[in-house]
Amino acid sequence: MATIDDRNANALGAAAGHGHDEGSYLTPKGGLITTIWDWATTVDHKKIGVMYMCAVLMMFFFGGVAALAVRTELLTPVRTQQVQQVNPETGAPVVDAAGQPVMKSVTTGQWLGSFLGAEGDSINKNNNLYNRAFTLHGAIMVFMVIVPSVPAALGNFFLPILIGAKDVAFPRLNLLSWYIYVCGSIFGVMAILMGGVDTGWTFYTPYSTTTDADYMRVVYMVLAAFILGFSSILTGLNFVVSVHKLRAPGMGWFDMPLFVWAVYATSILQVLATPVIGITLLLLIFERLFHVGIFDPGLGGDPVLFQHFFWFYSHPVVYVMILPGMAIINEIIPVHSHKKIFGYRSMAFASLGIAAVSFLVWGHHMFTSEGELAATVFSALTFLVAIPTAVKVFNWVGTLYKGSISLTAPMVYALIFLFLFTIGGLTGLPLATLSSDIHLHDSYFVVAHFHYVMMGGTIIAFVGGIHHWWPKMFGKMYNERAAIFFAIVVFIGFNLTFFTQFILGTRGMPRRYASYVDEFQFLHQLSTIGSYILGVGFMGSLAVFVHSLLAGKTAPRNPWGGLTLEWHIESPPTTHNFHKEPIVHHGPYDFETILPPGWDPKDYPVPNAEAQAAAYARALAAEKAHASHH
Amino acid sequence: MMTTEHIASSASILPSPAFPAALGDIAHNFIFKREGMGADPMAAGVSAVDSIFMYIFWISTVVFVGITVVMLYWTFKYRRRPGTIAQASPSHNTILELAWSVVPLGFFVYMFFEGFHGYISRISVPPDAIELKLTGRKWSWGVTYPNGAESPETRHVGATDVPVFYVPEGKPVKFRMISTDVLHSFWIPDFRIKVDVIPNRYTSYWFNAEKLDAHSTGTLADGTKYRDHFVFCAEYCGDLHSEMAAIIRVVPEASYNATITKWVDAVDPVELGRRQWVAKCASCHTIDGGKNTGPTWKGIFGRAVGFTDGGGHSAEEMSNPDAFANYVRESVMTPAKHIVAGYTNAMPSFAGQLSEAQMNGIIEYMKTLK
Repeated sequence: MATIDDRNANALGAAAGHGHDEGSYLTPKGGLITTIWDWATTVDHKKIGVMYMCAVLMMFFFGGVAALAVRTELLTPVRTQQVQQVNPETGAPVVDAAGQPVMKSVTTGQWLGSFLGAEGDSINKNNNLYNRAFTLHGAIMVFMVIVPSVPAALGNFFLPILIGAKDVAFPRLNLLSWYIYVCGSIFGVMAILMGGVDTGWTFYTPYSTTTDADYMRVVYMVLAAFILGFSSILTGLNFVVSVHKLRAPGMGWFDMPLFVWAVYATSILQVLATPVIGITLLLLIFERLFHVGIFDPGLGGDPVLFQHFFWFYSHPVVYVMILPGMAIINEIIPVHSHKKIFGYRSMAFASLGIAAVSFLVWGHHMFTSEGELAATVFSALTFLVAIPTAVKVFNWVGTLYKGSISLTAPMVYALIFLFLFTIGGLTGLPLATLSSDIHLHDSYFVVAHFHYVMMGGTIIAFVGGIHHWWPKMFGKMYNERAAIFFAIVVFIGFNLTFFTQFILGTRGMPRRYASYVDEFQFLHQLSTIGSYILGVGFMGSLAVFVHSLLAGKTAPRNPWGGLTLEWHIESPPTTHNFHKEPIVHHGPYDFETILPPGWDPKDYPVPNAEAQAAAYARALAAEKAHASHH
Repeated sequence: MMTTEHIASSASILPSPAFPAALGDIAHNFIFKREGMGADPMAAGVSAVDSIFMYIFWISTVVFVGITVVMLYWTFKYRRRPGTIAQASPSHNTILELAWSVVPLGFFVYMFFEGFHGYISRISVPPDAIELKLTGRKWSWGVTYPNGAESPETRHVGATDVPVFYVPEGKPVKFRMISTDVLHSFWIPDFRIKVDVIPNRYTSYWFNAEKLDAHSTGTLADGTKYRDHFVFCAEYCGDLHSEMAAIIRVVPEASYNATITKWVDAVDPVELGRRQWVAKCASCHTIDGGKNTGPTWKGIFGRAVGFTDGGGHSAEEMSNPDAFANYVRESVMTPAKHIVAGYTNAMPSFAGQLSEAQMNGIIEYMKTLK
């Protein structure tokens, strides 16, 4: 193991047996129409990954706008008070026949309502709009952003390359799942255009079966989640089969990059858990449309049953959301520390362990609505999830020890991830503990906790992953100083937004409130200011990428010094990724013995560095000769 | 200020009593205390929740600071210098990896048992608890006392008037709870416990309110000191979810008994009607002309009304006592039948929830709102 010889030229593309499709996958195939048609009908996992990324980022933008609307409404509480009526012309107080001042009720603090002309009107309109805004935020962020973000966007692009494959196992199915995703999103957008829904993303019954009874939009929104589920199942299925069948020669299970392990664990969850929510949502639609009594006690159903069904899926899906985030950190930390990841096997098993235990803990969302025995069992099981999660954090930090750490933009995101995810994980402990959970349940503490995990974890990892693989995906570098600057802006904004919410929660602020008592106003204002900073940070990061596309320097093959297969091929990759089936000769993280492809041996003096550099140069020359021959 | 109970509980979880206990108090107050009415809750059972929370808090703080410091220190110390590679170091250490799996497990087992212990003590209702009947509905709380009394008192909280429920100090009180529509959740943050309120199924909630001592937040007209605690709905229930509050007012037992007796003694239909408004209607219908979920009751007697389906009643009809009474009764019992123009179908039916005397009281009360 751990030697490089000329055979590695396979990975580079020497002596390819075919003359077509040698160019970058991004090279247009002809005019505008042809190119659009080419993308719309492509079965190339890279193009599908890029299309997913664009769709997910667009939905992230909409979900973010909804979040800012929610935070802006919470800048001021809704208040009514009696004030004396004043004659608008003279400014004199109005009095009635008996000489008593005439009072009127004045409502303030309705920011969302003011868009509907509801200023001074009943607070229902305002609060109802608020409820639609937070539902929109939650539903978009969960179903259309976080679930597909890493697996469908970055996973699609990199999973096949990381295992040395030309594509996923079922490329057409892959394209189909993208169209299903778009179709589901269109249903979601339709429900929004029809007025939106106010059920919350959890669709708890019987509220969700009775609200907006005259309208179809709740059905459309539920249908959207149902359809999106199929996209998720098909993607998961595709990845499971790809990992089993398409690994390159030389790549055993424990030679796989850890990104592949974690995405593999995620895929298993997607395939096994998503059908449950599919059926549940279908039952919900049946109940709404045909008044079949399943969940609504008014029809003889059981509302708590819905919670069991819902969380039986939605808890595993929490790990569908966080495992891919962990997957990215598994790559970023060793590559940018130029060091073998600590505890490779425990990392791989931790991913599978988290996936397995995640099926057994759904009841911890229901400590205040289920029986004592169930609550006790679920509390105990929940603590079990904490163990593999803690192991992962320790392993990541352990990897830094005696490393050679480049503080690049992706690495800054990985450190931010570690910081935020540790807070997110630790604040899960009082929620798993029964006696403190019955205080904290459904409070802002929970809101803060899952934002630290879902956003501080998954979204930060996703954005970090884009920074990590951007040069590979588009062949352009970006301005790293600007990228790090905006990462720090995001970090500050994030903590200001959500740390305040922990304290709001312990002090008694319930979630999903359009207004609040005076005691909470200061912390709410801090949180809102934080959310604006967060918005600026993300928009700045977007600007960095746009600038990179327009004016970025050409990216080398291996800007960070990675050893996994994607760093052997061109930036951006050719249509078939590899010109010939690659053969894997070393582990993914053998940084202490292998010279990163394309790196100067003087900069990176591993044993035998000069010979490795020479071998690489020969392979590259062969590839060039081959290209000019065509 | 901490009670002796608190000092004992925070001291027991901290290694060195003197300095860390003071630090513990500062952190504890910052995390849980609210200015004004929430300060220093002392209901029985609160310290069990707070002490396990603070225990987890301190362990988490130590772990978090440790991880962050190590992470930043290593990132700086082992920063990349061109011409060097990562130093050889083990990438696997069975003993270390076992240790950092098993040691947290030990802490988790302790947290689980402490949490379980506290939880059981919070949900096991003492047999001598006073049982009050609590109803949750969109979007108000109603409590019926053992003698049949309902609270006529309100306090303006935020945008609405919310009911004030009296409970005796230092005595176990149990609510038997049910919802008439969707899920709600009954939460008194100062007492550190919430329980979901579910349609078609009774759930129970109990607490042992603190002794008042010097911690009152106000005085009644007769000079009796009391202490108020917020009640919030913690399970999302629609438009006015955030306004679905109430006040739990802890008073001396003698004052509690006198108050609920006084409440039930009033038989004047107008007063009875007003109490129904406080308990069941105030969250949606104003009596001062202000707009809310439903039409205001101010001047409703004799005011023409139009429906969304085009129908309605003239001012003349609405001033006829019998026609008016029938209109009100129909609106309360079958609210979805006709919707007043400009409003939505938001009102739940109150069929089965009002006695004839109470229904009559509402009608009589409405007539007084000119």
